[in-house]
Amino acid sequence: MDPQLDISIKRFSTLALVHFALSRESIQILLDKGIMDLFNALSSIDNAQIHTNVSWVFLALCNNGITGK
Amino acid sequence: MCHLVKALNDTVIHYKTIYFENDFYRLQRLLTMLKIENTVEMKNRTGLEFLNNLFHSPFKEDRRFMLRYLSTETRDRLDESRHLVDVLFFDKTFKLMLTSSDEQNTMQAYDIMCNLIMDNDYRARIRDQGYTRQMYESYNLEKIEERRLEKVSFMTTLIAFHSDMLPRIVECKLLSFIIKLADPKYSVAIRSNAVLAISMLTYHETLFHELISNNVIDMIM
Repeated sequence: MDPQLDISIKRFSTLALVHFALSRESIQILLDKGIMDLFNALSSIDNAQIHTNVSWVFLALCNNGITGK
Repeated sequence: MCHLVKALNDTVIHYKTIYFENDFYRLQRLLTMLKIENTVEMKNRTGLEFLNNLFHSPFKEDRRFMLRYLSTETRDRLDESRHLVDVLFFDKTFKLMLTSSDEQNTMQAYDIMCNLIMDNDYRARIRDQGYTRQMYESYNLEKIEERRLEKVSFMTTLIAFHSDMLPRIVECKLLSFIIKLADPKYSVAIRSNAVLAISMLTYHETLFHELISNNVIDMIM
């Protein structure tokens, strides 16, 4: 499998998570599903777009008063 | 005399082979015919007639050239090729796209479709005249080949990208189709297109609850 293609799934998946995180309705669902654990898992991937998307998710959580465990 | 006839026949066969296997001669002929005409209307009519004949030609390479030419035109010069698209795509190529077993031709037809989706007027036509419904009703995920499905997934992403397609996205139950494409049994390219399409659909308020109830967040995470 081409690792670049695998990365592209992760890029688009994190983009979808950003869109969900921007909606107040889905933030609690993201937390219930373990979005916090995902930050650590994705930090090992060396891809700027994924890091940017994860940062947006984090920012959206912070804006809603969720700053971490 | 016998040798002379044989040599002549061989020469004819040789040049026929070159002609039928080489798009350069078809393009050269088309450009020469267009050059002769004086007015834009005549150029359009001659070009359309020539390409229409190629579409109906018994030689498969002729049709292949026509589709390749239309694909390039719709990509690079869509405004100048609207007269070709109206007759050659919506009347002919669209049916070919859904029914032909010729992979190369089908791929070109999908490329043309994707180019048309990017245009506001054609997208409205595709949306309002039942083309979207026809397409998605014709797909059987159990039988469709991988390469064709990859094109379909790319086209679906383009559709999801345009918010004016939302009524058809809902009507054709495109979300459940996209969710099926994200299944791990499909190639990474197909799944990648499906996930991008989902991320585009999260923008739409009307689909939000459907996304949540289909456990899309679980799937993505």
